[in-house]
Amino acid sequence: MQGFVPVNADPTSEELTVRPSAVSISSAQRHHGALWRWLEQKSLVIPVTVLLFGVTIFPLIYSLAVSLHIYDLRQEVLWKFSGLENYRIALFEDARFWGSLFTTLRIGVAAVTIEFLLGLGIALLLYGPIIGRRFFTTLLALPVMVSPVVSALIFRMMLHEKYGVINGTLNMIITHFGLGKEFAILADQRWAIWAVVLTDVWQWTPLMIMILLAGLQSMPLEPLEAARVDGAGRWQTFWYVMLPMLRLAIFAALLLRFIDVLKTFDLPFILTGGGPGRATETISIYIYLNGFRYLRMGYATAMSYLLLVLTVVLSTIFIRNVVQRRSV
Amino acid sequence: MPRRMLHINPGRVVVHIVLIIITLAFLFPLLWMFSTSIKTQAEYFTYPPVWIPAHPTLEHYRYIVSTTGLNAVRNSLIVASVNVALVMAVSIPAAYAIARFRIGGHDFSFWVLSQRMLAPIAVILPLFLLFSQLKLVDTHPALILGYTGFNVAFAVWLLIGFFEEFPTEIEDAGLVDGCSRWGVLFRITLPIVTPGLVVTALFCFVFAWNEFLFALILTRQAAATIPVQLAAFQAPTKILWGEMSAFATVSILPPLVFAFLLQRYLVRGLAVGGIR
Repeated sequence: MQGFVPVNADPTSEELTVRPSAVSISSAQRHHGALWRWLEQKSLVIPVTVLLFGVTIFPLIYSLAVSLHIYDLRQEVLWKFSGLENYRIALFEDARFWGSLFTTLRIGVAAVTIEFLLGLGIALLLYGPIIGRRFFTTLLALPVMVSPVVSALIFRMMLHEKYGVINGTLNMIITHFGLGKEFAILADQRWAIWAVVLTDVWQWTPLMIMILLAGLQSMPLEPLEAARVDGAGRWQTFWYVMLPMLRLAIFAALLLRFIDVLKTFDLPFILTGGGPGRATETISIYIYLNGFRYLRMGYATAMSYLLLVLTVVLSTIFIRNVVQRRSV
Repeated sequence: MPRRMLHINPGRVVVHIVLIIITLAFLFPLLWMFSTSIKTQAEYFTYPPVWIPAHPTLEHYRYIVSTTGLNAVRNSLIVASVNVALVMAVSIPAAYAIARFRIGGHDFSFWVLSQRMLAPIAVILPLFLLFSQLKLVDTHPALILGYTGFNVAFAVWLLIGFFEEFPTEIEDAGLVDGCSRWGVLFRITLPIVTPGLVVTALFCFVFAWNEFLFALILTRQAAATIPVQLAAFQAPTKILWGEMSAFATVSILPPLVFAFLLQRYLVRGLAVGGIR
């Protein structure tokens, strides 16, 4: 940069009159005109478009085609056209498909609710005058950075019926006080789902804390002051002033987490393998089993498209209501 | 210190104690894993549980090094770092174009973001069929390419924010002096937004490092990454808790170190730029 030339020095700049916030013209643009500028801008996004087309768009078109066929690697029947048959079976005949979907929704509702309540509580604690807030938030953030495989393995170990530090200790208390029979969370049809919820809560409550704390910290202080001056109590201030102002952060956090849980695979796959029985079989696990164990690719891709529809609808709501308000 | 403590009211002390307990509760599983990794088998297969090992041992770490550990670490390093390089190379110009020209309007940027929302299982089914035909299964390129979809969406969105914070006046000066757009980007803008680039790259690295589903399907043995080798410990026939914990402890070190570096950006990174 040799010396600063004022941007509006060149009166022929059409950029300035059309879009004042955009860029000024360069000498290259002066020489080559609109076409050159257009090419130069487009060239910036060509790599990303080509790459995304190759690794997601084309594969998804391909899998849409597969989903309209019987594509069974085990029986070596490939590309036998069957129309919407796979979708019909999933929606109207396959109880296991619906079962896995409801299991996923139950995990999602339970985990996200607990994460939200815990997250909000802890975020409110951290919002006050806290010595070493950075220290606490950094340490609390650590579970988020851990691979779900690792968290599932840790909880698998801690929930072992006999030697697990959580389940074992619970059993010790139960037998000591004669509160009933010993139990094994991971092997119990009714309790296994709570093992998945517990692990998810451990891993993702920190994210809730961080999002809600960021929301609290970006809140203007005047309404809080005004409420206090008007004689509102702590609870009233929280319920009528803070919560409404936090609405967007809460909505974003809940929806983001819920979409993530809908897609969850690794955590229940490692923790319980979908069992005992099918007690913790999520939709992603069921699709995985169809594709890679039963080798019914056609059916698996059809179900994956149904899952895609669900997540795309929720994601669109997220993008329209949260992202769009923030940027672009 | 004691004199200052006298002025602290009891309510605040209670809040701090509660926070310390909560923090310890969240750290407990990680500490337990580490403690298990240095216990002998007699100490972790025992009832009641041993909290702090009496005879700490490194035998489990040695076991990991002598078996699948080193190869998995090598694979994870290669996949994650090459993936990050590729992702950054295509994301930087795209994010820059969106931040400066709103190129493609809302539709283009939301299309990029929507890639992050896709269910991984829906993407991996066709990717597996395609990569099998290309004979790419159990090679590094399969995972490197497989992770680009998610990471590019993520990187573009994070980078847009960093570019928007950068004042356009400095770039304008460069343009007037005869730089091309690409020239401005590389000579003026990138050197100054380097911290943002590092933050983005680290997040992408952690994602590739931790990912399991794609790695499970696209690798067998030769290219298996850490999460795949870790998952093998889940098999019911062998309950090698010490070995498993040792491997898991090693595997979480890079993400944990990054957490300290990234702490200011965690919300921004983990909430997809939705919330700042």
